[in-house]
Amino acid sequence: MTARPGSAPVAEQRPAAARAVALVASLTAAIAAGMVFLTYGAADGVSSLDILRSALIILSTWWLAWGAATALLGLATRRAPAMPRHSGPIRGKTVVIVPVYNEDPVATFTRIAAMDDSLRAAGDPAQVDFAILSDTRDPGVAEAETRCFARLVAQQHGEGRMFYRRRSANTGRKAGNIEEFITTSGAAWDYAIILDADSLMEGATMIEMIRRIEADPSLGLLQTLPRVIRARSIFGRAMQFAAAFHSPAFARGLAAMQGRSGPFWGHNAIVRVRAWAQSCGLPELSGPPPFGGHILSHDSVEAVLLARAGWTVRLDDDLTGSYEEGPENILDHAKRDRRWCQGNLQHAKILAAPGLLGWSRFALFQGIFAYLAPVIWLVFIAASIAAIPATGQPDYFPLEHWRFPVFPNDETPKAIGLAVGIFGLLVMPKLLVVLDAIFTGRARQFGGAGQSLRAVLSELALSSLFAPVLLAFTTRSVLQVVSGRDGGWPSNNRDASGLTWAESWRAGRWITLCGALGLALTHTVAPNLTLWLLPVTGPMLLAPLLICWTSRPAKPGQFPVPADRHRPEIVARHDAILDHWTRTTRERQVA
Amino acid sequence: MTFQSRIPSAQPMTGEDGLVAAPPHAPLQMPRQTLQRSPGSFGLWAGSLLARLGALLRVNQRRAG
Repeated sequence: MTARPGSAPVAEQRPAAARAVALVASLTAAIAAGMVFLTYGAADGVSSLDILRSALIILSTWWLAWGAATALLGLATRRAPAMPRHSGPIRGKTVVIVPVYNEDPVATFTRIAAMDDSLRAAGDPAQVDFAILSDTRDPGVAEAETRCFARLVAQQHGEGRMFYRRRSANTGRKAGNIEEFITTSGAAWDYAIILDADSLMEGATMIEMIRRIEADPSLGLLQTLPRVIRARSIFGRAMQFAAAFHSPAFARGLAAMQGRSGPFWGHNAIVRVRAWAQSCGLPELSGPPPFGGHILSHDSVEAVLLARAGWTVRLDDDLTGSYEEGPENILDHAKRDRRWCQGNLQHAKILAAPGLLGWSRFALFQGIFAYLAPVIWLVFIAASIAAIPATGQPDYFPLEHWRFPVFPNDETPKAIGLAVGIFGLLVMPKLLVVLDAIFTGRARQFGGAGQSLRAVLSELALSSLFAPVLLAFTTRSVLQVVSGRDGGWPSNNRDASGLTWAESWRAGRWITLCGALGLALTHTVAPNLTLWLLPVTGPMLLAPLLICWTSRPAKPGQFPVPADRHRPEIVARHDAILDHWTRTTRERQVA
Repeated sequence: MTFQSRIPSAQPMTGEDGLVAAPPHAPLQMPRQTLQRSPGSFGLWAGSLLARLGALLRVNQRRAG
């Protein structure tokens, strides 16, 4: 790189040891599970199906163990020492970038007003401008955007520091939107805070991010851990609780291993504009979509490109005051996941890109594997059903002149041990997070030890119920991508109310059908497995019901999060401004 | 919060629809990055690896001989 920064004092905190521990532990667990399964299968002779299933068990156990190792690493690593920050006057100029695409303009522009107020309230002199980058296609929404922008500028006295532009063609989607801004106007600022339309950040957090990037000339990108807010439905509240309760441990584990090639999640992060311009010009990939064309999940690629150019990409999990909203029902989650699935599988084309850091390649590989893992589980289940008729009845009289039966070794304990081990990998990290929260006092923010434990167990039960439904959606996404179907670029639906029964039935009936076929096949071919597979086929049969029910409003206090007790300042500010805008807009409409 | 003086080039400009302040004109180059190996580069890499292995084998054979 031409402008190679100076030393990297912070992020290079010997992550090699953490990576080695997590990799060795997860690989050991995976190989052990594969060996146990093979000895279990080999009791009646090793078949090709046994070898296939052992390989599948190794792969899927590794993925579970990798997640568990990351969480354990996060729990074992205490909060990172305070990051260096520039304490003098801030010299750099910052722009807050808000890309929008057919979003609700009132909600988006009032968020900007709230963040602008919050920056003023932080009382720290810094030049922070705002740029709303619209890729909106709907002319009605676009018109509303310009009206809202005029109101925003008038209300916040934003002349000369608040900008809006709309592209006539949305080439390159979100990445292209940001690139167009950087190439046209990027030289006017030193740093850019990249947000999503639903992002909210406290002014003090933004100032802290500016201070940290200013303190470390090697830092190209600083990512925060956004907390999910404003969930109302059962599904949304469960996801919000899981993110608030469990994510800090996983994020800290991730941060312990990141070195200088940390993650970028596309928003709620600050970048050094020149580093970005120098490193993140994304090419189109060869071939047609879904694997070729524009890079869909551009954030992970931008992170690895910054690291390739010598810049540090860092996740600071200690930064609070960073928020986003999440999907409110399974269908919106599945729609977003379809886009992420295509984006991550597309990374297969760039795994071998020249010059990438080894850990960057591994990060891309993890993104791909996250979508292959459910398919691997499904293939394992199918292979296990197929293995039953292939096995046949045991031969109790294998010796010609021996008239007494010879019973085969009972391998049941091994099978149960393996199932318990795999289940433990899923559940144990979450239970350890509960213990950690109780002992450190963090559980108090969630209503105390009892309420935290109840919420964790409810979330476990609920996520076990909708896991097979999500598995079905992910498998369909993977099959669609592999068979060459492009998912396009649907806009996010962030304000979905409860789904109707008819909507849920239309969206989930194919899963019911697959569940029924699976159950019938198992009952015919391998009746002994019917009961074992009910935790998978049962929720599939009830998919429309689950989709509908989990989109309903949650009971008050269900899945508590700290924001219920102490509404974050920025959220309260936004609520007040949004309420005022909505009220006055209605009044105007009535008048 | 006291905002410092605005950047000189950040004068409000007319947007696409003539109503809004577009961002200032301050261009920055963004070179296209190489993400895919050129076709055949894997072949070249594999070929050079084999050539190296071959050379190594020949050296070892000479030593052994």
